[in-house]
Amino acid sequence: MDCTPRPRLLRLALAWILFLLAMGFHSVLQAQGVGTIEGKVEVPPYSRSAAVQVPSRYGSLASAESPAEMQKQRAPEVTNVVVYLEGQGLESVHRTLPPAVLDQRNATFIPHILPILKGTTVKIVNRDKTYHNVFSLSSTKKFDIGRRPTGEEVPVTFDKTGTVQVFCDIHSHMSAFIIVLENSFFIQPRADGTFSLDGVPPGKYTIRAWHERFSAAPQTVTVTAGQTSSIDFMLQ
Amino acid sequence: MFGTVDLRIQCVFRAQPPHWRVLIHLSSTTLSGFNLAHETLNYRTMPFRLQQIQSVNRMNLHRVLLATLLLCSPLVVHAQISWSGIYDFEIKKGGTGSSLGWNQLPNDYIQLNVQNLQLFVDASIDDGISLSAKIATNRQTASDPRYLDLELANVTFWHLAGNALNISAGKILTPFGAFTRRQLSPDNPLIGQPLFFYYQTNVSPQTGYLDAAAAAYAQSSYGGMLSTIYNGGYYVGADAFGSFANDLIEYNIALMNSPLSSPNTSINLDKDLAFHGRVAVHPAIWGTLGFSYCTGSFLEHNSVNSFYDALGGLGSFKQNTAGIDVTLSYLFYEINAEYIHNDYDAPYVVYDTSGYGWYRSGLPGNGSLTLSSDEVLVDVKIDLPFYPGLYVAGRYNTLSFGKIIDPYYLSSTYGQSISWDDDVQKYALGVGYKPAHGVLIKVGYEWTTIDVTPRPNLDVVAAQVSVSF
Repeated sequence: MDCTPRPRLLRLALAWILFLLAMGFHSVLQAQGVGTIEGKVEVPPYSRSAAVQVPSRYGSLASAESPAEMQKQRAPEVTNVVVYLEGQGLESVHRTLPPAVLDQRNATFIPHILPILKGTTVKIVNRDKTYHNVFSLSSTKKFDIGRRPTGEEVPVTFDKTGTVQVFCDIHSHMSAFIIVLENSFFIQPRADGTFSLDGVPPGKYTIRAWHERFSAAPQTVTVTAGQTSSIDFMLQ
Repeated sequence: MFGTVDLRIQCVFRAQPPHWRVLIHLSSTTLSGFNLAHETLNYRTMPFRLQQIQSVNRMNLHRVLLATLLLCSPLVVHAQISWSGIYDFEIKKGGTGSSLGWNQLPNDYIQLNVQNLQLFVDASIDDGISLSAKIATNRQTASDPRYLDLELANVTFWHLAGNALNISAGKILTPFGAFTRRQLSPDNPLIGQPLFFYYQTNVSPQTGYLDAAAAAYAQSSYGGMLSTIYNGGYYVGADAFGSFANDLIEYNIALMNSPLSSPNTSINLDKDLAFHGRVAVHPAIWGTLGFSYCTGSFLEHNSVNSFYDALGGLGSFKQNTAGIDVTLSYLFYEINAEYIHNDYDAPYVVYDTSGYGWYRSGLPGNGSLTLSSDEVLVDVKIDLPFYPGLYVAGRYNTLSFGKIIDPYYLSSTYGQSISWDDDVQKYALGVGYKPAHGVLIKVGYEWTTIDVTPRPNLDVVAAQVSVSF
């Protein structure tokens, strides 16, 4: 009885092994092609003004909330920070980003800070039963979408980088920021201030932390493939 | 915190002359009880005036503030307080007949004026409790910053029964009508105010109906002349408000110390409480329909009408006001319309120059006249979407007066049916622009007709910069 494997079977097995090895090597190569930036952001204690919620100051108070109740609904201030990268080559790297939506709910913009990639179309949606008149006079993007009924989506495209401050012409206490950035490498910290920005191509970049009120000096970060770089920000 | 800060405000009413004496005592004390600094300020309030008389127990106010900062470092905040304000600067030019009563212009010269400065404070005391207050430069003496009004000061208890019941108490804005809530300069698309705020009618708060001769001396001898709603509509009382049916219906009812037209300088409740109320329906997001009503005794006690004390008092002479307001808006268009019907059940107190003094005229019945008026206000505002921040606006405002039998025996129309005041029509056009959030620049032109006859001497051209901060 001949126990030597047939040559054809042997070649087939070898081909499979080589294929699997190639897949694994490719994965390793992929993993080794990008890095991660992690860190923590700290902001000083800051209580956003809890003005009495009155349309046009003297308007209807029905369904209004007390200043204390409004204050409780706000997310930790550190989540209103935007950490982002600047550097060559990042614009060409695509990252999947969540849909850009600016809601008006309970006479509040949600989110308060919306970072987007240049060229993104933001859907502005009124979720309240009363009118909001969303507008911006920022030089980066001036617009006025008028009074829109509940549920109507109004798309607004932002083609220039910069900061756009958004208001409601009916409810003067409402405001939000849309941060238009050059590339898709940006993130907002979690409630505990930590952040993790992954998929960053290797290289040397400038990393910044933006807040509407506080600031911190930009820092330089070097990203190495397959490794995690650590950067912290203490805003003041 | 290394000590305490003590702030005490004591209010004492003095009858002769009627005024409030306000003592504000501020002191900083360490935990061991050592008093670092203290200051007591003594103010006297007159109508539309808060005047410091003297400081007593003075140790220098800035030492008190410094001590407060040292003691309370790090600061422990028990009530979150926010400050905000509105500043208006105006340039106006009116005709030779321009006056405060018609166009808020005291003379016919160009006016450069800090028309108004208002400071709001809102404090969140606890869950469901907040305090609001507003100090403003007096509207009638806008060019003189010494005079301040405490226009608002109230505490609000929120959500006592969900959205259905909230209560405010203190000095509050009347719930009557819709324009009272749009009167602040950032919300008023034009510069001028409606006639019901400022047009002084032939009604005295002391003597009732003013005949032609009395009207000429109204300010000096008759306590002035009343407009339908006094000076922005701020009164002292308690207000319950809320909404039902998923905000479909909104209500606001208040008991105040006076009806709409009264200057309410007296804090004594020497007459019945006045009722102010409004119910509004929001059938759709683009529309609101409101119904308002107010009733109360409008006459103020004075020596000229003291003889009424023996005749049952002044309480039966009432101002009754009803109103309908409509708001329609969609996209870049907004229309606000308001109709107000006002009745004064007014006496006719005259002065006998032969020495008899003040007496009530021998009118039939209970000796009163029914002085009716109807006012219509329509505002249109159009935002220009191709230029964010820019809008155009227009206003039509008319005030017409009912008929009475002329009671003035020296008048050529004595015994005949006459209109008790001159009908007024006011028109305004304006342009507004927001160069930045919180800054509004307005330019407007306003012209007036009296009994449909154009009166160019009452026209006003004005520019206003309004800053909200």
